[in-house]
Amino acid sequence: MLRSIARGEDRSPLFWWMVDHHDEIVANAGKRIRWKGVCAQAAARGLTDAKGNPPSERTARATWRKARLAVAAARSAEAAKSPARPGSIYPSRIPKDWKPEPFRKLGPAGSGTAVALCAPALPVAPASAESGVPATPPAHRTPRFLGSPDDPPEVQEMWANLEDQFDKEDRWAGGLPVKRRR
Amino acid sequence: MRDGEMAGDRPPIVALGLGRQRTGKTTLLNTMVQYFRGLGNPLRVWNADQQNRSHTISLFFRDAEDVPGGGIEDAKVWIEARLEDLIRHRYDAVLDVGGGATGFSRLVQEVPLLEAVEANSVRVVGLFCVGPERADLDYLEQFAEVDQFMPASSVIVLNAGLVLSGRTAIGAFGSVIEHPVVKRASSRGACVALMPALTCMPQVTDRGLTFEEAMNGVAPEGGEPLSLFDRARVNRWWSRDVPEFFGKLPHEWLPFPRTAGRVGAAESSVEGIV
Repeated sequence: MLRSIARGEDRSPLFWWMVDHHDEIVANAGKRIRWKGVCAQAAARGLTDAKGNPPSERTARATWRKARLAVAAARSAEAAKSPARPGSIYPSRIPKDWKPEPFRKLGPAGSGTAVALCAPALPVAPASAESGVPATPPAHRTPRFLGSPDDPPEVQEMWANLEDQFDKEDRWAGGLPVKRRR
Repeated sequence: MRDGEMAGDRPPIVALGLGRQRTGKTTLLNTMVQYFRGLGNPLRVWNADQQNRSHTISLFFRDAEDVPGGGIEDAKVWIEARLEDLIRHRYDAVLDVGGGATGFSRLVQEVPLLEAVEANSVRVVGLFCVGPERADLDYLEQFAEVDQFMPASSVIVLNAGLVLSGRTAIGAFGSVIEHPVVKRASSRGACVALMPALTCMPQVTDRGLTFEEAMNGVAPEGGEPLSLFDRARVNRWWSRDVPEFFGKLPHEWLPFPRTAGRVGAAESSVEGIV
């Protein structure tokens, strides 16, 4: 996946480090990244910005945004590629315990560990009996790659919504040719 | 609240389609009017796009009101009169201002339009349509940062229908989303949303059909209905993607019918259309 991100000279060592460690950073950062600490670590590792200088907090934050966007675009492009042709593996090479993807999480019959095969098309919020409107407002979500961790919650929610829209659009486009049109 | 408005009522909404030419303003407004009229709001349609003749919003709505005359000054005076009428009679409307130098841009440069309209308890909703090209942001930059016209209810609409063949939407719009003008707008409360693509959009609009007619196989006079697969595409887009798109935008920025409840009534009406 990372090879699909164009390795141009305009990208800084810090950018590539962030791309290479993207998932690790996301997993460890929680909701807020401590940029001061990131800059200190980057300087200790000799990771510089595009001008060869130790990154400032502002540069590090901007670089992280770019890295998240690049990783998201590369992953989205990868997911949109056509899946392998059905039947391209000889039946004799298929492991005996192979099951289609949606069934893999199912336990043995009668074990009580079965899970739903697919999620409902739209999330359904619990409704209060009288009003019919959701009883509790949905919690704000943290976007995965858009916006900044410093954005206020409602802005983060907006970016998270946009990420969903991109996911959906690119999944349905499925890599099929889409002509430019109005 | 003004005289004549009921308690619990919302202010009138005027939604403006803004952006440079061929970014999908007319398509967005066409979709919006069909969708919200389908929910029961007879919102008015104003067409001030003087440069487009073959693809204007007036082609889709017989009751659309067009700017008389072809000059920028004509359009400016006409828009001014329309807005005054809306303030007086308290209804909802969409305005297609067209692209390039327009009567609307002249009006914005001349008077503090936003303040004047919003001071009369009318919500101005700016729909800034952009494609994946950097130049598509020029219009937003001009309005938001030079002319200081950036309604508090602004949506930057990324038109997925403009993404070139073979590209993903996230890859195509990456540089647009990262652009400082978008960042500044979002930090001031603008919403950024992706308008879903309908690959057979020209097949629908060239026939002059509504989306409901297109998916139901209606043939235009002297023409053919959409192919079976295009009907399926329109069906999915109109009944699933479009409601989801509007559902992601702030509810109070949209011209839902005044009598509809916040969630339940709107959703049941949508189901009634499809």
